[in-house]
Amino acid sequence: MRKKLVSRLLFSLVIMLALTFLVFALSSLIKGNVVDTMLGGEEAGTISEEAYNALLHQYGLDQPVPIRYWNWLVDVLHGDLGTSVAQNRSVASLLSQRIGPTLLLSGTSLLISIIISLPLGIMSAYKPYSIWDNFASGVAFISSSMPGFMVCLFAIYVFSVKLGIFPTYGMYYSNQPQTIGNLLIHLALPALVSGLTMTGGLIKQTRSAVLEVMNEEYIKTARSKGLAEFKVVVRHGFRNALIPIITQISLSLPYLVGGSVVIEQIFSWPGMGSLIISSIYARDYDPVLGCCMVICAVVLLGNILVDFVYLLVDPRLSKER
Amino acid sequence: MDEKDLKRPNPFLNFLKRFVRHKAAMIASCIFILEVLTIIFLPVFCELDAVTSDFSAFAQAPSAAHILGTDEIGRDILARLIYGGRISLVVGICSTLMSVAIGVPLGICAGYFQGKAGNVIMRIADMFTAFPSLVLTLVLVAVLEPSVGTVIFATGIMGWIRHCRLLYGTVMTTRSQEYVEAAVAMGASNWTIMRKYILPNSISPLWVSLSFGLSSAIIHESTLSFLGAGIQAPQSSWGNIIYAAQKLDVLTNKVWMWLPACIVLLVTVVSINMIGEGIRDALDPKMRI
Repeated sequence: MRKKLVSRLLFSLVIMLALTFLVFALSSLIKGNVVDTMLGGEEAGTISEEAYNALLHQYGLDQPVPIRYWNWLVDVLHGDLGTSVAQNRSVASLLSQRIGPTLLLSGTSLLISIIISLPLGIMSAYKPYSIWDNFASGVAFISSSMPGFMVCLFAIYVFSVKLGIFPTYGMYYSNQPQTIGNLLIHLALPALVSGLTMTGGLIKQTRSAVLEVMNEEYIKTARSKGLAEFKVVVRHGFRNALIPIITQISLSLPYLVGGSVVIEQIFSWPGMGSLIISSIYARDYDPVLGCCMVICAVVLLGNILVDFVYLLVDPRLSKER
Repeated sequence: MDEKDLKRPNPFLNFLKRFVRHKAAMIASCIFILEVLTIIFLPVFCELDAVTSDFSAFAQAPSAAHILGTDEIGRDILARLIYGGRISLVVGICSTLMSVAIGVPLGICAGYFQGKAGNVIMRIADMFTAFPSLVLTLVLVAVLEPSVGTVIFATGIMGWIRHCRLLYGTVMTTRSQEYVEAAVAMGASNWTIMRKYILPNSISPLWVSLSFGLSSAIIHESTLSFLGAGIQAPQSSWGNIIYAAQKLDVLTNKVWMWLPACIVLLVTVVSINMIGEGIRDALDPKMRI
């Protein structure tokens, strides 16, 4: 067990290095750098070449990519994630400010999607080809066919513009105290939209997993000993179908940490996703790299954790191997 | 027994028969074909100008001169919708082909050789899923400068994982079949076995994943363009027409600017997905159609 854990951790480390190097190398290939952005497009001609090169040197941009990556890595190991030149702040403080809102939004939306999908999936597997099943597969179909940004637009148009129930952007009304009610009313729409876009896959996965289990012999046994139908379905059916469902949920881990770029952008939610996109537009790559690293680390650790959850859910797995 | 009974049923014909009986998928196919034909041929028959501005009509609601109205700088929305459709479809189709061209050989190799090679390939696939793909695409498009070609490349290079995983799974079961063993015993080379025995027997789930791949590539492109990182004006795509709706004024008061593109995009994606469901049901022998 310990050997397996160590090898998984090592492997995760390799993936993280590979991915951050990939993003690093890609971002250094981009024409134009943060110095250009700082100077602004038109003024770039007015600065002398020496001054320009001095600026490049100051930010370490005059060195070859592998050396810059190495420097970045050493800094990271010392706890320094670099500075966002565009926002003139340390990346670490930016990240610590942004990760909270993202976790709040994506956690809520994951919860919403679980609350919607699990009952629907179980019901449709319990009575296949019934009205419930058709309804559930309809929801799943719509959810996986609608592009996220379109759902956002429709939701804003209907609920914010026409009905005026929810605000269209931000986390708080700027002119009101930051209370929980204020936060919740801002959270509702993005969380609902983002939760809805996640339900499709989860409903399908739940349905097929439970459907498979319901054909097992032990379900017959449970029924023949006179167990209440609800207990048969939930305790014997659903519980044994959990593994593929957990796998499906774990697939949304990157979005849980990274936030949905689109939804955060449209609703101006101050999270990781909108940080990433605004940094890319500003050609300011330290925050992008920092985000990538944090997302990657949490996702990989999360995947290892999910493996342990598998063992909890199905103790038989620990006896194999 | 006469000769007719001995003939092997043609699997493709069989599939086609079952597919035609799938009502929703047939309706979807008709809509999709009609749409593609419109996008291809309408500019041939009517004069459509998606680039020049009509200086007498900025941001005008639908009228006789501009059936779907004009955008903020006076370009005809209908024309942009049609030309944008060409780009959206081309990007979708090309990037799907690209992701198949990468994913299928890798998946087959990973499933056939397993061991180290398979492990490396599947771990690379894991690496891509450990990360929101949109972020990587955004960086990639920023590196390559946004254009039709780079959007195709960036979308295609993110889409191969789905096909690779799928093929990996089916090839694992195919390779343990007896006919593969027989081929090995006959001394066939790995290449021959993969090409003649593994590929034809593992390919059928790919057709389903192909259609879902196409719809998600179209969504991916429109999302990129919606964020302003994909297709750039004066070229249009459905996503970059909807980009206008990021302004609250347009979203609220100028519905004609973004709603038609949304509807067309939605209809396209839904019909492609419906076709995909039809293909899946037609391929599934347990399914009664």
